[in-house]
Amino acid sequence: MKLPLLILLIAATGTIGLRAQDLACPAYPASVRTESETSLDLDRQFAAYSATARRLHFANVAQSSRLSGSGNFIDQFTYKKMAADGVLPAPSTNDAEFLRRVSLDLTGRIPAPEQAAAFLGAADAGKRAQLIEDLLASPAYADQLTLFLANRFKVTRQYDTISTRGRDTFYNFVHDLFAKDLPYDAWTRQLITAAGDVDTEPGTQFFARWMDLAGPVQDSWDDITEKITTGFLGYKVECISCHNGRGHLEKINLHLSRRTRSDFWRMSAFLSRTNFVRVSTDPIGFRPRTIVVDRNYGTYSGSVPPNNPGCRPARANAVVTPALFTSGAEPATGNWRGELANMVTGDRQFARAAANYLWSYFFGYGIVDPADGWDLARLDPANPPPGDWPLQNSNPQLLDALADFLINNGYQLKPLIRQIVNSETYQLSSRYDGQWKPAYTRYFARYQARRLSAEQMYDALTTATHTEQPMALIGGRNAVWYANQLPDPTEPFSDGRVTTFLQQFGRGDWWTVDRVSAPSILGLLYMMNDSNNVYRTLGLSTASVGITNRVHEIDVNFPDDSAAIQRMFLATLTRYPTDPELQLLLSRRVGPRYQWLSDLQWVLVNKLDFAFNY
Amino acid sequence: MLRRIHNCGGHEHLNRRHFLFGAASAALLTPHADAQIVATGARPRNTAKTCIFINMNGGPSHLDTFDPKEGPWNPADARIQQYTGGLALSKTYFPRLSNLTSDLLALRSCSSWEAAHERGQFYVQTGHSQNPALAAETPHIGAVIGYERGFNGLLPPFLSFNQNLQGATFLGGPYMPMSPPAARTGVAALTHNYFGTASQQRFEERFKLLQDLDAGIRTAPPNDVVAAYAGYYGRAKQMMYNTAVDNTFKFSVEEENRYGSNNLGRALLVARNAIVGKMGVAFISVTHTGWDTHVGQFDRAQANNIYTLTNDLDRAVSNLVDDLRASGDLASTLIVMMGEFGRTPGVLTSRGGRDHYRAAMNVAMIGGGVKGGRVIGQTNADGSNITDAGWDAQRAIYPDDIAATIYSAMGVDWTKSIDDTPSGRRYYYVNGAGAAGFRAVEEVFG
Repeated sequence: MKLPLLILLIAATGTIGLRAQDLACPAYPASVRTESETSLDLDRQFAAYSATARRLHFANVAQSSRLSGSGNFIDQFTYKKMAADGVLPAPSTNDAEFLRRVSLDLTGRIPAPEQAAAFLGAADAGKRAQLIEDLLASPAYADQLTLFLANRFKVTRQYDTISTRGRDTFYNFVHDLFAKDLPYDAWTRQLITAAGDVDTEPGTQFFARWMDLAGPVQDSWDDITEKITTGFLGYKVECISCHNGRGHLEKINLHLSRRTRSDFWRMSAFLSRTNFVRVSTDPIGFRPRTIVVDRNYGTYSGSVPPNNPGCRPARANAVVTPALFTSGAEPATGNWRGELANMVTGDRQFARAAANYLWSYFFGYGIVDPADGWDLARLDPANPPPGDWPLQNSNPQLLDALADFLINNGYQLKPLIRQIVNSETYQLSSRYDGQWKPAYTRYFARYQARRLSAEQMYDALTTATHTEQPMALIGGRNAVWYANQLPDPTEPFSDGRVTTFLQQFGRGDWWTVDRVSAPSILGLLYMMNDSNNVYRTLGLSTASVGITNRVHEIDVNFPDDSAAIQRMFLATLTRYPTDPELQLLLSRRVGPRYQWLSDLQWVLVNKLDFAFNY
Repeated sequence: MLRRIHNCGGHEHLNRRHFLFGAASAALLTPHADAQIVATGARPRNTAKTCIFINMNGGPSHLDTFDPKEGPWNPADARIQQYTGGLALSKTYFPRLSNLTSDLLALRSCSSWEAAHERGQFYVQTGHSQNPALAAETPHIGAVIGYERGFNGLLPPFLSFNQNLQGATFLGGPYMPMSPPAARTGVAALTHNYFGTASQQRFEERFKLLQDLDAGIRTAPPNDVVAAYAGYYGRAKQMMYNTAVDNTFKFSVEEENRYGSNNLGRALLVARNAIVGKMGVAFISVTHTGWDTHVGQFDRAQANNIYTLTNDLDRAVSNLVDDLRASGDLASTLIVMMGEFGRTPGVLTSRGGRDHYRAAMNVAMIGGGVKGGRVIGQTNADGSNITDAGWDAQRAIYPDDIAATIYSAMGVDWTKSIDDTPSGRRYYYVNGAGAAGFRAVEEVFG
């Protein structure tokens, strides 16, 4: 018996009709979409609050703020905004909070107790500035900022694209930017124009990472174009790589809703003389060979192999020459990728996006937020967006001042970072005395507490308990001692203790698993009870990682119980206990000394504030 | 008809967004329009409290599992037997299930939309096509069931073994699958076992001290992110030193041998424990890997061949059925066995295996309201085409229909949809559900 053909047809067409909804839409990850939506919510609240504040003359409330006396231009701009709208800034951090925060932000690690004691004990008025100089000069500064930037490019070794050697080449390339404080514009030009062997040529790995392995070469150009605009200019174009913005993006991005797919093609066309030669793959040894090559002819065409059309809808009538997405500028020479590199880094948006990315790294929110989701139609207060669209640029003067500062310092990033962390604004407390309003977030009126990253968590745990251990890396690099030195999320390849820890705390893999900061029940159980973690907190000879751990060290060197408790607080939480805390702990000493010290160490590394940068 | 869902009040909603948006934006949570659910009003059967979904990853050959035929492709020892209700099974592949055919239902008129593993797996796990625009926000069927059924015990409603699954996406962290290890020794992190017999007391004291020291920051957290993290301590603690939780993840050597000392057997033991122990689990996904038998499928030298794969499945599932029957839980536990597609029919390929095949595949079900001892649908003599749909829709049964059937058994109205997904769209439990579209296979329930 055959199934009636008609019924099958009805079923099939009905099905296709239903599932065809948005079938052609590219991946616009939900996480990104929601982030944009949340930011937009906040922009609206900010606009509404600010308007009300001015109408009702809220000004002057904040006049006594210490921001007003700061000589740092950042504080002048944030203060001006807060004072105008009657927003009171949070109190300033105390020294201990500042020490922990700036150490985590600049080096990814918490300070050793000796350093903490010295800093907290110093009476020198300039000690914060001096600490910042010390941290900026330390090798850990480059480690931490490299991880921050590398996480944006997500270059990892892969059996089919990037060898371990290529991975290392890219890591060193990013690391040099910070270790040598190279000009970010020249560095970016090198990256965008990188060509040759992915094993050895710095920057080519970016192209190997984002090329489309299966589809036609147009998909590779389109994908990489999206990464270039997002990574260096702060705005996404992925949506319009498949369809015009109209009818799709009206609620997401005003600027993009007015742009077309052919605008995108012309941006992508800058890469259309670039090709990718995959010489070999290597599922076992991770030694694939890939070459990035340029030609001096060719153009962007919609013609794709019919048996492999790729993931985007047909590029009808797409035969285009390059034009910069924002200004429409066209290349003067046939070296299109070189021209793109010059246009991108010569665009003021490049400096603004860079400054905003760094700001977002230190404050948790961009001045334009999210930092990788600019809406170019919502930036200029002199030309405000229509309807109920709020401005996205929460402090235009500040943003431009930061961009100017970056440009005037020859695009070196360290001076800008120094300027930011020296500001009173960065040094505001995460505690807020009055009634906090979500709109205040856009004034940067307090520091936003955030969970430590997976790497920071691991490094804080081993530093606090003084149980740092070397982690072997693939490919002949020297072993590293801190998780923020790991060159990609496949490392330490053969050390399950560390990879499990980092996985539990949401490191992700830079491919299919996103970095997350949300907690999980199993993760917390793991932190509290897993042997690899608990052993670090044990005292005496029970500690399998050696008796030189923090508990033992304090047990031996701090015979006075109060002093021992204070030392352990300093080593773990980078602060001394409060009097009530100290009294509580003194009253709860149970059993032999090493035992209650061990209990205390376990409690402190599991304490809520240990998991946060606040 | 529009109605607000009962368990999505302000607090619940807040949590949902918390877990979804991560740390940065969670600090700024503001009241937001609640999700609205629309249903066209199907009548779910509500025959099962728990679903054990055995994901035969790789795409099992229908001809060599629950739709066997006499043919030159069979090895000499296949011993295919006919049973009442039209069932046929190889006595060699399924020696134990051959004795349980009165419980077994084989759906033979199934068809897959996909012939690639990743996309096929996505379909099986979510009941939805892997649309690139929507994939990131399309939840696993288990998360939807968890969301509908809520928390009913110490364990989260959705457990998963042996595979990273599509998670809960916008439904939120509580409905993410918890993926504990399945090992005889249980979950080590459930105890703080460093001080001999004093361990528990020592932990209690430590935890008390921790809570006392954290009292201040818990009372006045600097922002919502810290508050959310604080909320996890209590849940984690509740699971520790709880005999019921602990026992759920433990089993004896004898039991392990009985179910088979492999990932499938161990996971099904934990699944059994969770059900018998009434731990409040609604959906348990257990992945059984190795079904991608392109090469030498009857070659016993291959690590995974039809003999080992079917025998492992046979051993674990038959013992699970026996145990659940003995505990009185079989009638309320729906066991589903399926993969992402069928395999090429008729004679084997030149490599002695079978390749991916969409037009025909099969699904087996036991328990949970399923009327066993029957088949639904027929394929032709070499298993290449469906000849009889065997259900009132008179067309192939697609993964969408299977999803609706599972939802029905679990008491979930599969015609529901949730508005306001992260991309501002509407999420349909089953796309195109309705009388003329995808729907539960009512014939499953007899």
